[in-house]
Amino acid sequence: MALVKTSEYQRITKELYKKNLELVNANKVLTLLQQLYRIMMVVSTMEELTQGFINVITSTLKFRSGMVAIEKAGRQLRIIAVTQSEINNTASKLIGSSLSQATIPLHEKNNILVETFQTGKKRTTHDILEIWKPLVSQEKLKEVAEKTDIQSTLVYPIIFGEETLGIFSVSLGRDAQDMTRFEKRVLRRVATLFGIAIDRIKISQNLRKTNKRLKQVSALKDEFVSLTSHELRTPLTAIGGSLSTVLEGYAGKVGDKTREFLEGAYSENTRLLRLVNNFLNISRIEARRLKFNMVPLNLNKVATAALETIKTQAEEKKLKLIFEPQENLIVQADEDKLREIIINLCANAIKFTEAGQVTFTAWRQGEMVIVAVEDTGRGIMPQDQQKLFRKFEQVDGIKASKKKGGTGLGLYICKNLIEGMGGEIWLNSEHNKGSTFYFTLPLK
Amino acid sequence: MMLKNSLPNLFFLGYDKLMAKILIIEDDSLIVKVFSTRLESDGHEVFTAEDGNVGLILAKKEIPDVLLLDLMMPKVSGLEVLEQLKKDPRTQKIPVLVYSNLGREKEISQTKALGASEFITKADSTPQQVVEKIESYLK
Repeated sequence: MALVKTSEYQRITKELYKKNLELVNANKVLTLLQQLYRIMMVVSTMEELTQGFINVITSTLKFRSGMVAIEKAGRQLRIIAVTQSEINNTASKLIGSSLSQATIPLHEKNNILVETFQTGKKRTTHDILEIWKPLVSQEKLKEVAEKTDIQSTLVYPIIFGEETLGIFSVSLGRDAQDMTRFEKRVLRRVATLFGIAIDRIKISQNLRKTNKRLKQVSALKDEFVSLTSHELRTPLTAIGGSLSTVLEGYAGKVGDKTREFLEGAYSENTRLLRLVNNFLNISRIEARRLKFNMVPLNLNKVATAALETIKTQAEEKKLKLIFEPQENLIVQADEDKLREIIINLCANAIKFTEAGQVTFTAWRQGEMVIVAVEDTGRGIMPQDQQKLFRKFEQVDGIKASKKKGGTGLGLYICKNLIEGMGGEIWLNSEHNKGSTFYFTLPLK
Repeated sequence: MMLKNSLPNLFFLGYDKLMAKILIIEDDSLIVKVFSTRLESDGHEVFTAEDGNVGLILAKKEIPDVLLLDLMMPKVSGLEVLEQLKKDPRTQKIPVLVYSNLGREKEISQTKALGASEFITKADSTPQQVVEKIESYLK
């Protein structure tokens, strides 16, 4: 092993010492940044964030005091966080209220906080008068200045992108010129992080506000749809009831020509009622307010009542509406919703079938009942089949819905209602041969 | 099986339930007319009231066999009528069929708790079905 000369030895020791110091500093920076990041992740208010940041910065870097102020309403700087320190406590007492509520107007001259904010450049001062000037009277400040051991204060702008969001300051018990390069570099990095963190809080606050407003608007919309639907349903029920009463002969004999018109009116009225019902359902689905009153139901009975309401539509198109229940099936379901599903599926089948028949069947399979609605319509192309169950989707888009009527909501509603009752819906379709929609319901 | 057009047989329908007293409390006069026409043609005696106040007076005076009751009405609401009816020993046994479009969970459970026999959603039932339901309580 070669002998090392004393001068060389000293050089190496010095070098090692330097490296060691750098390591210690780097470690300090890492710890500081880590702490700041952790604060960033857990806080949700501007107050928590700024207080957490300034506390960590002053304690890690051994400053005497620290403070954060944020721009407010474009008119003033609001002091939002201060550290527990002698100077801050004194200032608080002199102001006569909590320091972390005080505001400084942005037109204030000779205030270093405002100046830093306006110019976006770091400032240094040895005179605490420059900080507290508008908040505390000159004489009192002089008293404080004589007593305090603070020698200098550095004020950094908090910038994010193009925008200056506020300032933070740290006060030292020594001259600012004595600060190491390391300290200055750390403070610059902290200033950048401060900008990101405050911007993040601002965004999440805005989001929360917008979200709240949206929720209110949405609730208002649901209430409106619900009320309007009710208001629309009542007269439609009265019209339908009157027409059916006349058609069934309660008001005297009805001539063939008259019957034709009344039946047309009745069928249109039923269609309108169904539309309103669908809107009401949609608003409940969207508001997640669908409630299911699950009771044992005789499927044949519910289906008969449902088909009764749409049979005139089938008759108008000269389609056969065939009802083929296989056995007495008792399902666990919500009666109104089950009726809606059957009406929606069968009315759809009638709407898209030009000739032939619509067949309603049901059978038992294991613990479930399968219901099928089969038509002899033009069928649905494979690429369109999944789209069907989405909101406002109809095969061929809007053009088709204008021609065929309807809102494209029916199958979306069916899917939601069926799934809400623990069932599934799917279809089988062959082009030009017709479609069959199946759905399942739990047996009682 | 084809669904056949079910025209009611005016002579035989409800023959065995002849002359039951039915009270309809409903503020929509057209709906009142629809049911009074149908029920009368089935041979029943029908009383009608277009607000809850008159409805209560009629119920206590006539003691109907069945009562069809709307919910949203001027002056006294259907819920209040139902509550009053169920409090009075003279009227408390009358089956009350609530007939409304306010078919939300809240209203349904409220009326059931107050002792209503049925909740019929207006928009979901044909007059024929409602009449059948009314008559099913006449035994």
